[in-house]
Amino acid sequence: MVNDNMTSEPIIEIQNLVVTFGEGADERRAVSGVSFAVHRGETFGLVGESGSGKSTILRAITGLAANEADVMRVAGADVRTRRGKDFYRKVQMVFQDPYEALHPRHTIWRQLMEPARIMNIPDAEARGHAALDSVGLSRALLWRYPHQLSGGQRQRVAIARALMSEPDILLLDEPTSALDVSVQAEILNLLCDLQDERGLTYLMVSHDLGVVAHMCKRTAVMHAGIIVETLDVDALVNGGATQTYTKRLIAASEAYGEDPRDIAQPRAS
Amino acid sequence: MSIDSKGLTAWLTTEEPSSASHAAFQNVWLVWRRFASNPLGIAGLMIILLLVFVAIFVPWLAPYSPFEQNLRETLVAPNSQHLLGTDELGRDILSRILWGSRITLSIVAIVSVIVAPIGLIVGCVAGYYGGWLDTVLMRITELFLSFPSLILALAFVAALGPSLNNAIIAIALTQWPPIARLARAESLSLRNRDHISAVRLMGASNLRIVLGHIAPLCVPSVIVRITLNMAGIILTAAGLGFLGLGAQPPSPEWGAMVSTGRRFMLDSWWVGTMPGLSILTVSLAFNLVGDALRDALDPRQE
Repeated sequence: MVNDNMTSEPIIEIQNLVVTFGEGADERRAVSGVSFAVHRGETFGLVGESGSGKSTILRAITGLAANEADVMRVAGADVRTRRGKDFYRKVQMVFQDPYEALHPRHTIWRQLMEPARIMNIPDAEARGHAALDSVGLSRALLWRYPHQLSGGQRQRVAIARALMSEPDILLLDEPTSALDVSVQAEILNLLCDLQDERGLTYLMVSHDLGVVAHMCKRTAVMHAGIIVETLDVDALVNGGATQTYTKRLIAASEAYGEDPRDIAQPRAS
Repeated sequence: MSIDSKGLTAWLTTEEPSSASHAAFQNVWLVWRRFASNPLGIAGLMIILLLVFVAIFVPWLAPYSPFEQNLRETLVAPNSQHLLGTDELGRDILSRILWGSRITLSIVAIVSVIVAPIGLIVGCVAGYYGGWLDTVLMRITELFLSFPSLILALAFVAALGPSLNNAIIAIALTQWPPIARLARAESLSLRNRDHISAVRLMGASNLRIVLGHIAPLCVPSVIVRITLNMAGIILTAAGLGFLGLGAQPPSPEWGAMVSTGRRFMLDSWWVGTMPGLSILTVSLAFNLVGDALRDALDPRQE
């Protein structure tokens, strides 16, 4: 599973991750024995249909979902048991629905200052302005509430908030699937730009092969709680998938009118 | 003047507020505009404001002392000297009702001040933490809920001794459980929302999440519930007064006045009717305001 030709130490390393919901007779495994590694500065994709456990992996990494794993190292620290403030400084998450992810009664500025207050970030105001600038939001929006913004603007606020602690890793949970198609492209390009500027590592969950092909170098294909295969996006796009499930997924995506080759544009870097 | 008010409206409705307080004012303005679009709510608010005005300025408004007896003029029907008549001791009923507004208002205010924080905290803690803490807190809540509130208040007052203060404590004891249940239900639906997860991912403590992120979002529904409950609070207080367990004579409490009026109901209807109408009006006003507030504060309308 682990890509051997990479020499650097992986920034996220997970082996045999198991996430179970419910107890006793209701017990249900959402993720059963998943292993993968993500390298610094890379975008790693997790694709699969709804309910395949891909979002649960992100929640397990952040500790929002209880889990067991043989190895779970994030940014050099073992995070299987306790995650301190250091962890949350380095790892932040961007959620699927930006309206859900922002406090409905806080102004944009307060949304940005909240992480600064919790993590005792120095020069919070300067960082807040810098974060807003880097996601391309006008300062005129500072004192608005989330319901007064468009979906794309909300997602930009959510990304700016995640950037407040200057993290190394962003966990992206379908960051564009709740947005209009034209806005999706804007947000994806913004994420690419931020990665180039700040050297961020992305772990990106998506059900959209086009988005994954656009963003990621490598991706894991998930089905029913396990990784079916891990492959380079080049291979995914050019019919190099070896597993039947992956081929079916690609075929389904093409039937839906999304040929990954059409959507996958070369990344400007 | 018109330019000024136009400037103010523009300031309150501009798309680009310039500071945090500006944004807060705009929010208040928005709630007020939605509230004002409900004429019944405005009517209720006027009555409550009138009640507050009367309670503050009653020494100058009341034509007579509420305690002054005049045994030569007992049970006088409403006339030009005594607009609402006099009671069995010749006291002016209008003056007593006006002075009674202070008692009613203080009962409502004190009970709300006691009940809202207790209900909110118990409900939010139970809903957010879940598990055994939830079980314990909710069983205690249900213990209080399983008695009819008037019976429970009666029992407490009987144990503590009849007085206005004990009545207030007893009413507060019966009024917090519904608030706690409401706050718990709200917290349950909030705690798995993404914006709470996002705060958790900033490393926020549970206390900070409950007090800073969950409780404030429960406040609007708690305010609405308390406003709607105020009618019940007034009626319970009046009921305790009627049974002789609330305010003690000669204090002009409306429920106690209705109680004395009962004895003279057939030949002097005004003695019981006038304070009864006051109770009715004020309870109705609080209900109307509560209904209008529910519409105005509902975040789903945004």
